[in-house]
Amino acid sequence: MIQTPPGRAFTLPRKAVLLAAAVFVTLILVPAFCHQGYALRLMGMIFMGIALASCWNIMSGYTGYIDFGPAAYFGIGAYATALLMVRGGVPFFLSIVLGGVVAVAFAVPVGLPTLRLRGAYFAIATFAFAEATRQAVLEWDRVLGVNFFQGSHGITLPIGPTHQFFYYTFLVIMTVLFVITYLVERSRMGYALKAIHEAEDAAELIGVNTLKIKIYAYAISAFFTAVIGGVDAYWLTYITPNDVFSVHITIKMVIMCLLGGMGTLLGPVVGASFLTLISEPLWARFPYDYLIIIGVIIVLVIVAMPKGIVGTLLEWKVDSRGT
Amino acid sequence: MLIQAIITGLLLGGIYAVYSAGFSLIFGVMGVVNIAHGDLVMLGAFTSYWLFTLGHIDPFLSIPFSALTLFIVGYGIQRLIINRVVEAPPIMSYICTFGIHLIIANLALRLWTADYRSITTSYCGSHLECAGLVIPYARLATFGMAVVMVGGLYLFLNRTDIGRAIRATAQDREMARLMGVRANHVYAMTFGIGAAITGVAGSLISSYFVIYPQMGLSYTVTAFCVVVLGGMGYIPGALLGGLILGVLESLTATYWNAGMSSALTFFILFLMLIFMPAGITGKGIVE
Amino acid sequence: MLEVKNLNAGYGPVQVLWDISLEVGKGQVVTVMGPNGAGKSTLLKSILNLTTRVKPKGEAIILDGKDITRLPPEMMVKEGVAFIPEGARVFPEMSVLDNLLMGAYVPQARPHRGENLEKVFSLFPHLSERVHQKAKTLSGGERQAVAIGRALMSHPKLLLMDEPSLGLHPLLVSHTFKAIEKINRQGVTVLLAEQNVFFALEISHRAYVLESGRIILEGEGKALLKEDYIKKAYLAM
Repeated sequence: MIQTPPGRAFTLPRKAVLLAAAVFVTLILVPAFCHQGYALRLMGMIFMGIALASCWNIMSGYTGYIDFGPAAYFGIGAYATALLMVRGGVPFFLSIVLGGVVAVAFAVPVGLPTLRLRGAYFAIATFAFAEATRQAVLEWDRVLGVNFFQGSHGITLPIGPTHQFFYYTFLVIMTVLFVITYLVERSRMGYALKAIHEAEDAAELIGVNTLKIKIYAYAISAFFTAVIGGVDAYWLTYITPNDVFSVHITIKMVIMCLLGGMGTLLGPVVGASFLTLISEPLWARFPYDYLIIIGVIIVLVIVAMPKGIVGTLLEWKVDSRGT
Repeated sequence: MLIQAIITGLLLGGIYAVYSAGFSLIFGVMGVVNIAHGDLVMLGAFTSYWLFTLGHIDPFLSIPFSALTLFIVGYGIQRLIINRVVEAPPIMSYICTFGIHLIIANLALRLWTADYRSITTSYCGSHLECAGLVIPYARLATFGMAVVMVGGLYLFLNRTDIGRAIRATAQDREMARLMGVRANHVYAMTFGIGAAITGVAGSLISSYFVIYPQMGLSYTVTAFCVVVLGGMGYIPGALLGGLILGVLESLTATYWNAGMSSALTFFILFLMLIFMPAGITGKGIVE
Repeated sequence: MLEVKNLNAGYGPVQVLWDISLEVGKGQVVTVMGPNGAGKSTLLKSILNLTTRVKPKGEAIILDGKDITRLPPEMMVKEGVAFIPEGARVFPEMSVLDNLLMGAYVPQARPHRGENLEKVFSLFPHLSERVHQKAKTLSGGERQAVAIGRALMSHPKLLLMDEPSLGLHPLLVSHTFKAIEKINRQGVTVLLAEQNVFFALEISHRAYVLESGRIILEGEGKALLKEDYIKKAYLAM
């Protein structure tokens, strides 16, 4: 049986905990001092990016099974939230949680057959799932002759509260994910994830139920991605299938996590912050070449810096400590 | 109506088989899932399109050009980029080819705009009529080409020295090395050949469907589905898988709705992964 | 034919071989023997440059006068060095014929394909009945034969064989060594890594004993059989 790594889940240098707490408190207080809508919105977007990158990290970063279809859950969350709020009058916070539950209801049956096989199958199967979901939601009404998803007409949600509201919502979600990642990393599950990533067959042999662990990771990732999708839907007030199931969402998540460092705690934070901050000017200056540049960045990072910023830094730290 | 749907599906499936065979080859030999594969189809299609529009060259005659162009593109991509991640964990190659996809698809979008284009030849309306069935000559010809291509690839792999070297490298790279095979060269050749045959499929498709720069991704998914059906890494399986998928899609479009095609593809993929991950033939590489 | 001087090698940070020097004369059969883990396989692989070299300055590997110390593995077969690994490692999905033809991939071997194929089939007649069978369906002994045949197809000067007797039952082992002897008489130099001392020394001109990565004994083949050390360690006398 696997042993828990020496030391228990809550051991951590005092300094790091204090630092994290300080950052958190600062972030809570920011809106009290800064009323600039643009700044708050930007920070909200950064938090959302960090949260999304963390979701992708929990699954693909730690298990090594590349998920190319998180957009599916983002969209599921967005639509679930929208429909619940608009049709069912369900309050916002409950809606997004239910959206997460719906996402898990899809994630488990999708994950079960695909996670049993090589990573390649999982990668494209998840992509196919995202595309299929997008098309299904888009064509559903037309094909079945019902009035449910509204297809490309989209769904309009009730007007949401201020930017401050979303700032705090995303701050909370981001922090929750950060804490979850931290706890998982240091728990038995984290140990198992690492084993799966590095030597899955060996892990199976010593009794790790790799399928179960992979499904957990996938489900957690799906749940939170959907929640974030739900919040975003409320923030944007208007959603269409091509927006919320867009492959661009997946691309962003992948590259934010990749750039920062897959499988690390701070990777998503670094990657998402960096990318969101350069995205705005990049998008403004090169609206047509934006994706080409992103593609080039991806290739360069994979070829030159596969461990991302944080991963490479960690490696340097280990190397310089002496052989 | 049923027979017509099946025939249409078979003719379509032949083309699916061609580019899926390229995809299967690359995966079988190098273990690389080429997410940019559909973009290679797109490039082949556009090569034919521009040759037709600017040079009045018939799509069938443009096949050697697109094969050559795509061979060079494929060889180049492999040698310059993919070669660096072939030995790394597979996840690196997926993300890498994903990045390559973004570059190619959006570069194409930039150069050629998002407009849908198609090729209309003088003969595209003429068809064969028999027992109430309508079979356009052009489609029959593309099907013929498709079968020739897949057969050619199979013969190449099994009867030539290079083909043998490619197979050996796929099965035991270190031993192949000790027989004098340079792995880099083999990988680049494999990718080049896979790309070339995919380019040919693109040319065939350009005479069939509308084409546009963003078409790539859905073709990649189709290729994957075909290959899972036929068995990953097993070339003859790509033909079988292609035909089956073609027929299923045709039947769905006829009896239900064409708009749900990617949902159908995913569903089939899904079922295959649960019940028959090694493909219908059972010869796919699974683990 | 082959001279190895001061070889220090291993895998990554783990050193396995320490200051190995040996010689294989042209047309000879030389055996390197020793217990499991002594480094016999590593020695052969190091000659082929498949391992990590430690202290790269002091050492040299010379084949027929040519320095091959730093030659990449894929060039080895061009210099006439063929390798038969432990466990045969035939190409599983390829037919017997394809495996053999693969052995003749090097340009210098192609013109001799026909004659070499005949040689292989006369050495191992049972293979000619299984020409189109997939290698993975063959028995252990047959796979061994294919591996040897495949190596011969490259028209080699020097054959490196890693534990040819492993996993084979005694009758087959005897056949295998008789085949090696025949091959040697046809002009191929052989360097053998073996645990099965009796059969190996019977056909060897010279032999080395390797233990914990160092050579502790060397001598004439059959003479070594009489050495006390060998008798005690390997022949249980």
